[in-house]
Amino acid sequence: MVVEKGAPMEHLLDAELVKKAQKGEGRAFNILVERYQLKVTRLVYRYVNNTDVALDLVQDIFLKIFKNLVNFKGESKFSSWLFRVAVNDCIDHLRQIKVRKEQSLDQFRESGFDVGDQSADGEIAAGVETREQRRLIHQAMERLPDNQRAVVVMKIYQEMTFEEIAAVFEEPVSTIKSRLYKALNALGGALRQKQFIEREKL
Amino acid sequence: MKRLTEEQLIDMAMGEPHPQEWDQRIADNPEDRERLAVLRAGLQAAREIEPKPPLMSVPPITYERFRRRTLLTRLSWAAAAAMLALSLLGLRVEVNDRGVAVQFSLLGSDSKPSSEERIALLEQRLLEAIELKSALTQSQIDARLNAFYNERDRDLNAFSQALEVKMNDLDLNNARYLSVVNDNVAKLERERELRGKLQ
Repeated sequence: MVVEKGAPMEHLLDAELVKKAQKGEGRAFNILVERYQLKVTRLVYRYVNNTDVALDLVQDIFLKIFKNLVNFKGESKFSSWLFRVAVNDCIDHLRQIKVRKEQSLDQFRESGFDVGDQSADGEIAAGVETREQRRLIHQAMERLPDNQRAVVVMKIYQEMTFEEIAAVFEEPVSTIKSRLYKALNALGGALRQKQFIEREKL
Repeated sequence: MKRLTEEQLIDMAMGEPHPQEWDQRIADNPEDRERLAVLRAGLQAAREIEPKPPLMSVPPITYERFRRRTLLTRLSWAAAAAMLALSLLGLRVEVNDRGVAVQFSLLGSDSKPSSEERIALLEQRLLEAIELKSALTQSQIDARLNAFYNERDRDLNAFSQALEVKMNDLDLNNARYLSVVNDNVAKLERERELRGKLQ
């Protein structure tokens, strides 16, 4: 499609905007950002669960896109590439957090604190069971491998199609479904185990 | 009966369109029914802890801003690289009492130095750097001591001046008291004389 200089670009396809941005047309890049910033921010937030961190990560993600736009050959869709960069950034961030958490837990243990069970002391307040259940699910979610967790976030929270997710990871749909199966199996298993223990107690 | 695959079960759990035959298989096979129930529980669990994004004011991300940022980064890298290259070429900057001296020790030399020579040169530079550092440290210590002595002298002067003023005040007061005492003694003497005459 031929577009005159200064003409509106909002109607252009991602691939066309990418080509223009690669040629140094800043407006094309800005339209791409406008098109995806909110989606990416939501995705990142659902990963990191922290507004400030999410906003920082989104800046980093778009900066990476900006820097590597010249090398983008268009073999995959722009959106798939963007989400791939976003997911990888989130995974890296969570890994760093995990390492820091483990280090600080080690320090606690070295100081003689018991960090084994945070839910001790048998609280009786209302809603404890729900809280406990949520904690259990959170733990199960954190234990999921990165690629399974990514599929949960993208499919269940972002409501992306299996085909879209497969394009992001450049893998077959069957692999994505298999990952989701394993993830839901683990989460469901944890939940059911908890319910079973509760029933046994009664 | 043939069991449902993971993919088929996921399609069912996620509510994707699927053949009716699969529902029949689920109805007939308790094991698959249980697998599907676990998946549905997992889905429910995941939804329960879904982080709901709050309303966020997304910061402006623009091409122009990124271009400035990358340009600045490139400039700083270029500056660092230039400094490194210059130092490898033997740029020496010397700061002393006479001012700043800049010189290239290797630039212009006809033959390339051997590795031993280069090591010797590096060692010499290292020694110079150490000397410069110790000289700087010594001059810093000297400056500190001088500042301390100056401060002490200033304090001593101020103290001496204050003491002198105090001493002068004391002398003045003493002189005043002395004159009062002398007056009183003279008065008493006169009174005694008058009493003697009256008697």
